[in-house]
Amino acid sequence: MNPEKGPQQGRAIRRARTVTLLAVFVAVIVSLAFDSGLGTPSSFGIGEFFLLCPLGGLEALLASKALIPVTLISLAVVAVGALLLGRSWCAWGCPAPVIRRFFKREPKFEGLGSGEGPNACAAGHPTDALATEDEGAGNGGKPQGCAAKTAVRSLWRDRLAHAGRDPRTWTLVAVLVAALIAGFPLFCLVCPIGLTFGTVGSLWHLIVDKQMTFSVLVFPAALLVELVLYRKWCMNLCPIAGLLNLFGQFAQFGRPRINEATCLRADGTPCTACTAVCSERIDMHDADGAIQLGDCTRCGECAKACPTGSITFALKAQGEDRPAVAPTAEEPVAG
Amino acid sequence: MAKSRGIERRTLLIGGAAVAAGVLCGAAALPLAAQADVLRPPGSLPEDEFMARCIRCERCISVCPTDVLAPLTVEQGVLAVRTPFVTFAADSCTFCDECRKVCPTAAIGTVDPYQPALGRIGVAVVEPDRCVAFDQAGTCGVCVDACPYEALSFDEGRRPVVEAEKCNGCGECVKICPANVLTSFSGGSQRGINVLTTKQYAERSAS
Repeated sequence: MNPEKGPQQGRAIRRARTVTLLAVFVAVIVSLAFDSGLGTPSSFGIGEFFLLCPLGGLEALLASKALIPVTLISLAVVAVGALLLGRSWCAWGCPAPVIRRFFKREPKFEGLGSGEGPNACAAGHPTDALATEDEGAGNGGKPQGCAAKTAVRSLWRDRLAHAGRDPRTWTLVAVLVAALIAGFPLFCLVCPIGLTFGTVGSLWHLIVDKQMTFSVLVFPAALLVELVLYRKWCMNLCPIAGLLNLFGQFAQFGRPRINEATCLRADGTPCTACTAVCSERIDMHDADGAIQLGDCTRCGECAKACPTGSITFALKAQGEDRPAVAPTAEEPVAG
Repeated sequence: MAKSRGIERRTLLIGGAAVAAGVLCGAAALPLAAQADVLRPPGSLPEDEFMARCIRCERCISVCPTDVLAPLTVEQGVLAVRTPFVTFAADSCTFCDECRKVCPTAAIGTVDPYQPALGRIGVAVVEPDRCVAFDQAGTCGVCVDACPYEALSFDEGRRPVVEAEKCNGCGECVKICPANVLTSFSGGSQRGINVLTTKQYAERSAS
């Protein structure tokens, strides 16, 4: 196998992501300039055929206490997309990671299991780590013997536990409750995606319509507080990530896979290159790696960073060749 | 299983805190929800319903062929910021229905411009202290000629009068009103005729 294939693919994915995000911005500006109504990522489409932000849509349904047919239809389409591609939006469409990277405020890697406190096994021998990880951290997996009981119930319990541990699941709950009580989509006010394209729009109105407004200053200021001052928005707070994570558990398409034969961990080297660059701090070598991969944003950084080029992305979902040190640790999920 | 129960307890705690935070934020915003008193796109639902549905995607603003829709600024209302409002500074509404078609949450409904009683953008009101025809009778009447819905006519002194039951607030009269330009020497930027929200109109009629 070509050891350069993974990094090459990673670089290609990074380029493709830059192009898609640029295309989003161009589409928003073209839409403003030519009245084409393409819209913003909050809702985009052509004429009466559109998709909308799944969180905004849910908030609107809860706030209005009405079943809005057009919204329900669009939400169903978005849900199918999320079931196929999971969190891809976060790396391919959302401007937040790029803004953070621009200010060089990416969260630091604090070792394996950083999200759940210290992990004693972080630098240990991977073979030992696998066996003892569950004692090390809440984030750790289950003992092999337990995971080997590949009952559907246990998989669902793992998924639920994973979602329960994720603070973003609870931001999502808070946001939906707030919309229900307030009677309007409250989160849309502070949404980084909304604020980004609100900034683009207000700049457009400033330049083209000579509309002087403090929005031009307030929107980017709020955005900077959320993303730059507090650098862990995506990791800890984003309710959109929380919502997409729930779908991501089922999304088998486009996940990264490890070639166990060339991975440094195979001979005991405590390499964490892939986890360190992962925006979700996914440890594919963990016993619950497949569950963690539900949060994968398909950003390709792990493939780019892997020193042995052992990580590749395949668009196609593959049951038996999924990443895990111990293939018995998970059952194949019917797509 | 002791460990897993620990996680459960922590989850419950976080979950409870999240719900409480949601209730608190929601309750704090509740009294401020529908406070913006601005012209909404034609056929918009009542303000509280409109606010409940609008996700501030600005798609209506981007599709509007006459660019009369703009996002509310922070000065106009912090909680309603980025929701659409109608401004007739440069053009008027043609009731083309595009904003209704693109709204992803159906916050904008259908409207018949010839049936203002069933739904309208607002009502035009002549400002006697700004209108040129009130200053010098017979000098101006462009708004009367411009009104596509024959809601404007002259009174006996050749001053424009709005028939409120015919006016849907399309803004054609506002767009064409030259008072802003003609009286610019005396200061002020108000036009001789403006479209008021139905709420503002009711308040003005009452006083």
